[in-house]
Amino acid sequence: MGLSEQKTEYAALSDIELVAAAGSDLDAFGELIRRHQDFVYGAALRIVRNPVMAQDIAQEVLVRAYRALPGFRGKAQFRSWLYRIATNLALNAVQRRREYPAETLPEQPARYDPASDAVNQALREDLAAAIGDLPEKLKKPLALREYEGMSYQDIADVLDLPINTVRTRILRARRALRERMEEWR
Amino acid sequence: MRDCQTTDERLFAFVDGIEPDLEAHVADCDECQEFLAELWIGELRTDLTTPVLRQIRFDEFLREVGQLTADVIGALGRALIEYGPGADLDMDDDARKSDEE
Repeated sequence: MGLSEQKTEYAALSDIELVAAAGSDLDAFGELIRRHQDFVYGAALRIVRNPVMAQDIAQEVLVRAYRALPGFRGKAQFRSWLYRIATNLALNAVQRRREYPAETLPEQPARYDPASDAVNQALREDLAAAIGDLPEKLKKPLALREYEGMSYQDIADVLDLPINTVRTRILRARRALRERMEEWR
Repeated sequence: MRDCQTTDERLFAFVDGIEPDLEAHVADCDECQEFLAELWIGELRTDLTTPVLRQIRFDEFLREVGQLTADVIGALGRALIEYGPGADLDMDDDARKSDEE
């Protein structure tokens, strides 16, 4: 089985199925990482307020989660379980930073890597058409977020809008795209 | 508004650190986590899949090396008991006894 074929197969599995497979197949855990890394990072960033630190914590959360997988009973959602680990590690990191303040690290530059996008040409064209059909007020913030990799705050500054308006519009744009692209699922 | 009655505005405030009281609720609420997961799409600028899997493989390697080292040390210990200087004396004693008999 080819790598992309295997990835597609994993993408069709639920979190619980992937957790069950991850014990004997590390690539199944790779799919869980791809699925939840943004969420884990967001949860950590909310607490530590430092992108570099949040990224380190997110990495540590995912490694610890793998080690603790045998103890995951599946009573809670896998994402909730990760959320708790991320929150605990982030709070510990904040505590340590208070006790041992270090110099502030620079923020990582934003990076957009179109090559990592695995969708095929037809899907890309459909997606581009769907984005093109979005109302202008949704399209602009979405494009700045997805193509320019800008933060919500930067988009709010550029478009001269309240940050929550930007967040809401991007969420609405994503939902509209998801509905439109449903046939690709 | 979602079934849990938490508004988008409150969750935005939570993300901004203004609503820390929501922490316990969010930790248990699938709906709120779903919303946050959607909000945080694209936050992380570096794919962590490769570094995380690499670290897991490295940890496994270290564990296996540790196990191997423990096995080797155990075997050396057993060899020392079996064939070390003390063992020679025991063997000499055994040989002397059998000669006397």
